[in-house]
Amino acid sequence: MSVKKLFDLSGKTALITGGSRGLGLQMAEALGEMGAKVAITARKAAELEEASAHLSKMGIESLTVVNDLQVSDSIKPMVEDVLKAFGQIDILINNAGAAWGAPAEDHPLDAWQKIINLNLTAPFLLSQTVGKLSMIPRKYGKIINIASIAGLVGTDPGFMPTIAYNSSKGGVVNFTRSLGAEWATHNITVNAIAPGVFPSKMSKGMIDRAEQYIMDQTPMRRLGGDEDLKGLALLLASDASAYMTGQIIAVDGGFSSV
Amino acid sequence: MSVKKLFDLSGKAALITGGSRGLGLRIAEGGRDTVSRSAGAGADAWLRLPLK
Repeated sequence: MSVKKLFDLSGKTALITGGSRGLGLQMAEALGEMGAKVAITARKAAELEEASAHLSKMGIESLTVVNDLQVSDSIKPMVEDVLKAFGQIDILINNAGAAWGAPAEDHPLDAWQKIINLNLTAPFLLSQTVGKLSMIPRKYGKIINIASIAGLVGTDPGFMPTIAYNSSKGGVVNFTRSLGAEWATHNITVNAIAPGVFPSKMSKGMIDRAEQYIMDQTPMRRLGGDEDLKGLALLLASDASAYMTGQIIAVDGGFSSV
Repeated sequence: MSVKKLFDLSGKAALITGGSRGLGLRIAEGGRDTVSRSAGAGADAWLRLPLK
């Protein structure tokens, strides 16, 4: 098969959580450009509509679903809505996430639970539901979890103390390995992207506080950009990565390499 | 930039060691599909170099 064909997503459908902006929208653009229909979810309808209009201008067919992943009971109906519209889900990108900055000794329990619930439990429930309703019966699936370099190592407390975020992303890293092994025989690959620091609503406070530190620690001396996740997202969403599973790949300008 | 453009290797040149067969040849074929010219340096070629 030609390498162009390996990267072709014509006839595929993707569900991307947190797809209305930032990294999620960037990945929706990449998958849509290569032929996939994309369902994007977020909490805010207005932002979803704006993203959908943006994708439509690029010639990408999209479906928007307003959903709060903190509400576990809402996940199955949301997946069923997407299946009703698209018939199948070939690609799932667990992208939605949140962070909380507080010293461990003072970290509020409710904030800890919120971060673990959104960053780790929701990807588990979504993968479980999409797997059971579509990927396992069809013997095909590509799951991409958005981890973080904060899931690979601890964070310098002088930078920002984010114990719940680091713990949740560390969980995503090993969730990826474990699910990848468990579902390999179903022809479902499960891999993770570990982004470094990309400008976003979530990272704004951190960048404002420690931009110079981030630059000093990043060999490429820049933050992540609007196109920096596209290539890897496409690789992991396509048949070009058919023999890859359980892997965590950093996209961080070299931050985690030094 | 479009993702197709990000993967486009038009105008690029690649040097692939061990490119005459196996993994090296497969990688060279992938580059060809995205319009690069590949120069493979296989182990056999090294073995044929005159010894000094």
